[in-house]
This record gives sequence, structure tokens and C-alpha cells, in this order.
Amino acid sequence: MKRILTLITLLLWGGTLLYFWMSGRVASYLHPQFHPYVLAAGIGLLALAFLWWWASRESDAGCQDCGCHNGHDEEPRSSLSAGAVFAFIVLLLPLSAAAFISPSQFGEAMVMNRGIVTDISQLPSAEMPGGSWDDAPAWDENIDDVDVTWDENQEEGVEYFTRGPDGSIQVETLDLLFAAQEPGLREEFENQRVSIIGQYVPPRGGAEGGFDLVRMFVVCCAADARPLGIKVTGEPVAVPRMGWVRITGIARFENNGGVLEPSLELEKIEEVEAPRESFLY
Amino acid sequence: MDHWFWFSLPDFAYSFLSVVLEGVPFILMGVALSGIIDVFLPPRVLTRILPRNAAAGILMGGALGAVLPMCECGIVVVIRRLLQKGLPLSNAMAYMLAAPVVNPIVAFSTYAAFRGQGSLEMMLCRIGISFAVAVMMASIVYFMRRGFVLRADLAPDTTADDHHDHRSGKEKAAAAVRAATKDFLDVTVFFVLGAAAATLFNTSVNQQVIMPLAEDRALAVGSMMALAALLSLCSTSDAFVAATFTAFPSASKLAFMVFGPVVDLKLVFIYGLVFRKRFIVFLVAGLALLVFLLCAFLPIPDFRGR
Repeated sequence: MKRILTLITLLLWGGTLLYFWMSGRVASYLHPQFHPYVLAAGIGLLALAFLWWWASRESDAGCQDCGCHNGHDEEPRSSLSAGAVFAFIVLLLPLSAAAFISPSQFGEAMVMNRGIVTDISQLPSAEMPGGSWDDAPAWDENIDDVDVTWDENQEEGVEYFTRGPDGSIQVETLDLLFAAQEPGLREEFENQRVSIIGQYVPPRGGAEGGFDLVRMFVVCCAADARPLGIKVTGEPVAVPRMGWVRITGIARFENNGGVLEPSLELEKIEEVEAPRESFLY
Repeated sequence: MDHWFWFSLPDFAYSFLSVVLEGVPFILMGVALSGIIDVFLPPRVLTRILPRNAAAGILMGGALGAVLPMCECGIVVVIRRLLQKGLPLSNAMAYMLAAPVVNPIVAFSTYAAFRGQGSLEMMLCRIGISFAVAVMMASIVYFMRRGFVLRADLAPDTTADDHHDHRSGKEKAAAAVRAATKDFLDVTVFFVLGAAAATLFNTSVNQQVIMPLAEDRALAVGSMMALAALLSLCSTSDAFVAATFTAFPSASKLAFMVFGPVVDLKLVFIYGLVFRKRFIVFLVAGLALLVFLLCAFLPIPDFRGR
């Protein structure tokens, strides 16, 4: 019995890791840096399952030959103690249940428990668009003609953003949070039409007076995700809570208790498919 | 703050899976190595390479994990065998306390987990503080009577031989696979329980509740040490859990990663295989004091970037 359960455990864990890698679901859980490890561990666990099956048979043969008991630490045919039953339940149940239940994205409870980040200095590892936060040079107030939008004809310079068909600057929540802290960048966005994808989070009790547009920022895996939020002002809209939307609106920056926070004056909201890369890194 | 606890099963399952997917490759790496070491490296080799000078022996014992990595779950069993074969107690203590952290696997996983939060600094600080704690505690133990520390049935057995010298390479390989599988199952059980407890805390508790703990360094260090002891995570993967506490100062996350691998709920039971109960109380209290003092008062900045 123990031998069968051990084999099932190794196959389940290896199979689950491989499934997450092959189906692409792993992209909703881990930073891309960790994806190859999941593949390697999945293959490694399946290999271990086959090796273990071989080794447990080898153990039986060895005991029959020499009759010794020392060192044969694993007793594959031994009956199950209560502790072993509990261990196998812990090994088999949570993983399969979690893989079945997990919607591969967070819901509102996590957003509310973790708190929406509206100040970039609260993120320990946020990187500036195109560079490191720590290495970022101080913004030169005298330079006021830098074009932050993408220009295909421009060979050098600060070229991070594209424009949509309606002329709106395509940005991420992270870009606007950075802009709030960088005067020069802020001037480029202030009162401009921008377009952002995120999840719709109305305040509990209704969307009167606006809502938050949230996107998860991740360092390693979903467990360390921090919801980055942009306040959107406008009329209530009929969109499912935590549904993916594209917002087009005018960017503003408001002083909230001494901290400048970005906000959007809603012009258009449309429901969209969840992006394949749901995280920002 | 309109609530302090809000449990959502889908959120819990999602976050739990992400911790598991991230940690399991590192557990597998650890048990593969420990299985090979367990079978192919006889303990007598260790007793030969350790110097006879006490101080040098302690320092070398503390650094031995760099070449012979072992997680905290497996090391107590190895130490018991080494002590029976006459390895000096202080050397064994330094190896036991340092090896779960001062090794390349944990260095790599810590570096990976703290990507973007000062990965290199966190890795070096973790290894440095763990080594210092192990050496200090082993030096204290050097002056203790063996009878106070060890269980009575652990007298040195100089006649102990190597039972399985007669085993063929195939039999040894099979034993290594069995040892690795057993380690994987043992460690993963504690990892699943620890990941679930940490996930419950991380997804269900309103983080504003613990913010006051994060703001005071000594309080943050103490509470993260307590959490590490309760969660009982494996040292190969605990960095991934520690890194999720982004609001806490780096020093408290170091305390979590230095204290957890030497004192936790499961280890207190496992230590009973080798040490007397009174000594376990002394060991836990001594380690708690050392880690707290080092992490709360050393000038450790908050690391960012990389």
C-alpha cells in the first residue's frame, strides 16, 4: 500500500508540474525566470517515480539475498501507520484540490487584504520602464522637450510607449505610478489621453464616484503579488468585479496626503480578454 | 480598516499553488543531493577531514555545508551517526546548525527568491549571520559536558563499522533513490503544511493588521522569528515565503531565514533523537537570543533592487 501511495504521490507531483508548464498556466503563477525549473522538476519527479519503483523492487531482492536489516531504511511493503496516512493525505489532497479550484488569478478578497498600492515607493523592487529604479538618473527639470512616446523614425532617445488608433498613449499602471514621482515624466502624461488594461475594482457597496483599476505586480510568484491601483473617476459601470477592462481617460495627478497619486478621468471603458501575461514585473 | 480577516478559497488555492510550484524544484534539488551523499559518502570521511584543533574544527564544521549540503530535516540523523563515530560534539554542532543554510542550494534559492529585493545582499547576509550563529553556539557547546548535551544512548561507538561496504553500485544507487524519495516525501509534507499556513496568513489577513509589527525593527524581527518557528519551512524554499513579506524590513526577513532552519516545531521533535530535553530548551533559547540580537541590532539596511 505504501509503495503504491509513494508512486502515486511522485507521479501526481511530477504530472502536476509538467501540466502547469505544458498548458502555459505556469505564466499566471511564476515569474518567467522560474518556468524552466518547473519543467525540470516535473521531469525529475516522474523520473524519480520510475527509479523509486525500480529501487523498491531492488530492495526486496537485496533483502532476500542477504537477509540483513541494516540500511534498508525504506520498507516499501510495510503497513500504513496513522502518521503515514496523514502524510499521504497532506501530499495528495491539497495539491490536487488547489490545482482544481485555483482560478489562476486573484479575487477581490486578496486585493482588499493586501491593500491597493498607489505610491510607487511602497514597492521594493519596481523597475522603471526600460531601466532600474535604483539606477534611474534624477530627472532633469530643464529638459522639457523629451518625447516619451514611441517614434519608429527615432533611433535614439526615450522611447517606451505606443499610441493607440485614437491617439491615446498606451501605458501600464506601473508607468503612471512612476510618472507621479518624476516631474518631467509627469508633465508628459498630465492631461493627456491614456489607455490602460487592468481589473475593475469598485469600492465595496457600489461604484459611486469612481473605482480602482488594478494590475498585479509580481517579483517571484503570485504569492508576493501587490495590487497596483489607479483611481478612475466617472459614472458607475456595469462590469463584473475583478473583470478585465481597458480604460481610456485623461490622466491627472492629485496630491493625497503629501503623496502625488495618478488618476484617470473616465472617457471609455470596454471589457477585454485577460492578457496572457497578467502580471507586471 | 473594515475587516481583519477575509478568507477566499480560490485566492488561497491560487497563492498556495504558486508557492508550491516555486519551491518544489528546490526541494527536489536538495533531496537528490542528500540521497547521493547519504549513500555514497561514508561518515568516516568527514571525521578524517576535520582538523583536531577545536577552533579550526568548529570553523570548518560551520563551512562544511558548502561542500556537503544537507537540509535541516536530514542533518540530525547524519549528526547522530557522526557523533556515534566519535566526531567532536562542537564540530558536529557547527555543522548541524550551519549546513542547512551555508550551502550552495540555499544560497541559490535565496538569491532567486529575493530577485528585486537586494538578492545578493540578502544571500550574503543570510549565509554570514547563519555561519556566525552556528560558530558561536558551537563554541558555547564546546565548554559543556557531553552528558548534559547528548542523550545517554549516544556514547561514541568507535567499533561502528560501515554495514554496507559489501553493497554493489546498483544496490547503492537503489538505496540513494530510496533515501531521496523518503526525504522528498518527509520534507514536502512539512512544506505543504508550512506553505498552507503562510498562504492563509498572506491572503486572508488584512495586511494593515500587521503593519505596526513591520514598522518597529525589533518587533518585526521577533515576530518573523516566531512565524518561522511556527511555519517550519525547509531551508531550501523558505526564502520564497520570506520574500513575500514585502512590508517588513530586510533584517526581519533575515531573522526569519536564519532562525527557521535551526529552530522550528518539527526540529524540536527531531532534536530529541540526539539531545537531552534540558539541552534542547537551552539550544532553542540560546539560538533565539543570538539571532534576535544580531538581526535587531546589526546595521542591516533595507535592500532594494537587482
